[in-house]
Amino acid sequence: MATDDPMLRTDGLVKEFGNFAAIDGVDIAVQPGEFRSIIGPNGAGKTTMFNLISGGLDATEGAVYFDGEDVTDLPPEERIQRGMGRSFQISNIFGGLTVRENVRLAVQSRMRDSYSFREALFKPTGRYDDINDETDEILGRIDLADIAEEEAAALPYGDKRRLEIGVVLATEPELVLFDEPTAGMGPEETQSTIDLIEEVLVEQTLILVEHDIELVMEISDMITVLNHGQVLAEGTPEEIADNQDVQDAYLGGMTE
Amino acid sequence: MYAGTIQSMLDVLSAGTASFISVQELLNGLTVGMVYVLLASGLSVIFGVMHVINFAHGELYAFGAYFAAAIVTPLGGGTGFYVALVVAPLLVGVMGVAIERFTVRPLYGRDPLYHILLTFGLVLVLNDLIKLIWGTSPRRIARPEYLTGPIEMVGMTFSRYSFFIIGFGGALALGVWALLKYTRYGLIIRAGAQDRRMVRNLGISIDRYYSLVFGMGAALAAVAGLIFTAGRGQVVPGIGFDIIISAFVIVVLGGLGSFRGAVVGGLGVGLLQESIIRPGVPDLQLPLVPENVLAPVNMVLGLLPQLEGMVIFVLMIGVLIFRPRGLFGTEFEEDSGELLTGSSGGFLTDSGRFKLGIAMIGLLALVPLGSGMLPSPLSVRLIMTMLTWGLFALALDFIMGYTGLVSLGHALFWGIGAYVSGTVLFNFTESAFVAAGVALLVGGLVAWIVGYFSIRVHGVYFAMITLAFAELFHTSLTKIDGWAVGFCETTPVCSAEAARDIQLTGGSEGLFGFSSYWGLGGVGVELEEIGIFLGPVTLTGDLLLYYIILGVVVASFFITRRMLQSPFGAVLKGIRENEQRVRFLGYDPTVYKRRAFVVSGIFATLAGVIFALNESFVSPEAAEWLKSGEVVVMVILGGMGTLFGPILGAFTFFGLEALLQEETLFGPFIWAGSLVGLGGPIEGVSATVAERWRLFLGSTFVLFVVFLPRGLVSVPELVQQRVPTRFDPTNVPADPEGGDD
Repeated sequence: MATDDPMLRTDGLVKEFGNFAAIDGVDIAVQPGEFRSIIGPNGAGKTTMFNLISGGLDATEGAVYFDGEDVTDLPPEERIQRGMGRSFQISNIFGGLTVRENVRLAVQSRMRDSYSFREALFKPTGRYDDINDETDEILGRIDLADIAEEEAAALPYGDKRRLEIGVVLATEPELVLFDEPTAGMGPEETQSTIDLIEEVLVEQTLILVEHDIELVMEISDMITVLNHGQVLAEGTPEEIADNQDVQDAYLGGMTE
Repeated sequence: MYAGTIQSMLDVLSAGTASFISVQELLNGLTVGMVYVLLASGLSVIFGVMHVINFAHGELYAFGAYFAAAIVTPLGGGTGFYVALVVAPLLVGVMGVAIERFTVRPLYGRDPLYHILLTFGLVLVLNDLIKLIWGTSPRRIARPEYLTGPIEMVGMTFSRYSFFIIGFGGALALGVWALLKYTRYGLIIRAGAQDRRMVRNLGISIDRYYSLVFGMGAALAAVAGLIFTAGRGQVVPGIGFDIIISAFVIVVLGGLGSFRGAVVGGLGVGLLQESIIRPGVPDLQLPLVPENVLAPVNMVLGLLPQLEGMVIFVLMIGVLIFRPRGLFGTEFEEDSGELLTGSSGGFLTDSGRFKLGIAMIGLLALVPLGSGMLPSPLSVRLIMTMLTWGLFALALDFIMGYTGLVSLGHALFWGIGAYVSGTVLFNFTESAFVAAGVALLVGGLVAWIVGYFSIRVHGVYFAMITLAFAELFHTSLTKIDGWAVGFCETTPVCSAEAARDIQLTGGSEGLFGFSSYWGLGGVGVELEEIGIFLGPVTLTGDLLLYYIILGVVVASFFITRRMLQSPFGAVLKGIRENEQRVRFLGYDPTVYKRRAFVVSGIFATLAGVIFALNESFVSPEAAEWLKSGEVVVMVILGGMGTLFGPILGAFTFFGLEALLQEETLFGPFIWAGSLVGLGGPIEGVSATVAERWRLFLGSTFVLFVVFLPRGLVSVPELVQQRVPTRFDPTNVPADPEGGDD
């Protein structure tokens, strides 16, 4: 395939739950290196869209292309192996493991093919130098190195979100899907999380689902507005801000 | 006029089926089927509404029969029978309400697997309660004269009582159906089976209906127990044990939670077992189909009687794989409550626990040296049993505690270990190494196959499918020799004399008296030939085997622990914590679970091998479902997800058993009692306890599930929480190196 393929493309994507079409024929194309945000009122289908892209749900119709290849029928783990990464709306980390173990499990997933059967089964994870080095580096980048030995479940909320980002980062994805990474955060924490995302994932293609419109306008390259499972509008933040349909359907009805 | 119509209908029926199934056999199947319907419908509705898999349902069935026997015996078979038909189900219904209220209710919100564990404990309690109250000698339930003897119809004789069972059972099932369909209670119960949360959100407190449903299910089971045992056979303590697995098969086939499914499944299984498989069917002869096409079909049909007891498990496995919801089941929200694993916190630090473990191993190594001096409950034989089961429990924990898959069929691997090594030693070579090697190979292979089919189903379905595989193996054990003989006779491979001597599994007797040596190709030693003299003690035979077992168990512990620290183990721990997230890190959980299942299967097989080497005999008991249940009990007792917890659980289990069976435990009490003139009664109590230890063990276990679900290993942590001043966690210096694995 040609190199100017989009990083991610959906083609006539439909997801029906019974008779209700949560996603109703969505075509989007996200270019490499782009920062795309998906917004829309509650129930517009944002999270469903995310699940279709990442493999959490199977599409009723249509196709998903990642890096030029059809991944519609692949389970999530194989999409991740091809370079997708996903964070979750609610912190979705391994609560009973330490911060270091969380990151290490993610790093290890990328390297597992390089070990022999005997090593993978019997050599303690703590003795793999390559995994340890990478883990340390990521712990440094997400600024959690000094609490690396604490149990993840005991972390304060903001640190859990950082760890969540670190875990995604550790799988070295080309495309990262963020589902409301700042949900439930105060303004300061939100800013530092966004700074973190922009800092550590500057080279990656990003797709973000977010409620905070101001934030989205500030950081996105392109915005897709969903409503009733369909694309209502698509464009740069300026174009979206000026779009009358969007204001009617969404911004007008939104009082926060 | 009607008689004429019925006559002609029966004529047509018998003409049409004469070549296939006789009318008597059909009636037989329907009779047994109706009993299944009554038993399974309660089980299924209880599951549908409360998501409780009730293993104790078979014991409630037995209680129904026992209450009835107790009522009918003094009152006589006339009125007594009808009184029993009303009173016994009511009594059992009350028992059901009490069980729900006091044991099941505290567990709502936890993973449904805890209900399996709880009701398994109840099986032990109820079964021993029956023996305690009524003894073990068989009883009979006399029927009214009117319901005995044959009845002549259309030139054939039928049993009157069969018509009664079909008529009465059918009316009762219809009544329950109408209750569910047309009453307000029924509506709420059906709605609850669909979506409990929604019913709660409507402002209906569905919990209040749970007792009712449980009681109703129990009463139906009691009716089933009564009418079936009054018809055929005797009331003996094992009747609940024997029928519960069939009831599960029916519930799974019909669809968990579906009343209609239980009816169709019950009748279907009854007909299949009694009308088709047991009597066998004649060769099919269809006019338009050529002979050579029918030949293989007829060959399979001809084999059916030999597969009695196995076909239903094959069906069950097939349904679970291809249509997990069964024939009529609807998709139900699977609660994924938390599985409570043992914790490693508490006042014992990692290094403290390690030292404690080493001390324990050291202590165990000293035991044989003091043999002959130690009190009998601590005998070497007992500890060998404890160690073997400890290994078995450790193996189960590897899959249960680390991936959350509760296998109810691990007796399969214990049985394979015991039988494969037994048959190798008995028939081929006496080398213990060869026997163990072959057994482990077979165990690993079977684990892979069973894992391949089972891992794709989740939760309760996984428990059921592993149970089905184990029962399939268990049932085949008594048949394998027959197949081998048949094979031998029909092929020129072996002679007629060879056929007569075949003893691969030894049928229902098992294999006795095989011996082994430790070596290969005839070169090696028997343990009896070695004598190590240490002062007054000579280590030989069993005492040496003791050290071999101890070594194997300790080595197995360290190997599995090491595995859990490896990248493979890290993924397993991840799956336990959050399976969905593991997928989104790029791991396929199914692959890792299957590998874990194989590891678990191999170690469980090893435990079975040790058992066979230790006992020098195997019998089909080695693979029965009770074993699978007991090993789950040990894992929970000790604390799952810790590896050492289950070993502790096995020691506690057998320790309790030995203590309860040891009447000298009560010696001091009897002596003290005799001083105040109560020696006799206390002696009586001690004798009862010794005989009914399962009752106490089961009760202990039920208390554990309800109050201490994290097992014995969580005791240090609980102590720490209760005694905060002495073990203040903030005073414990942080350990920067610790907690890394």
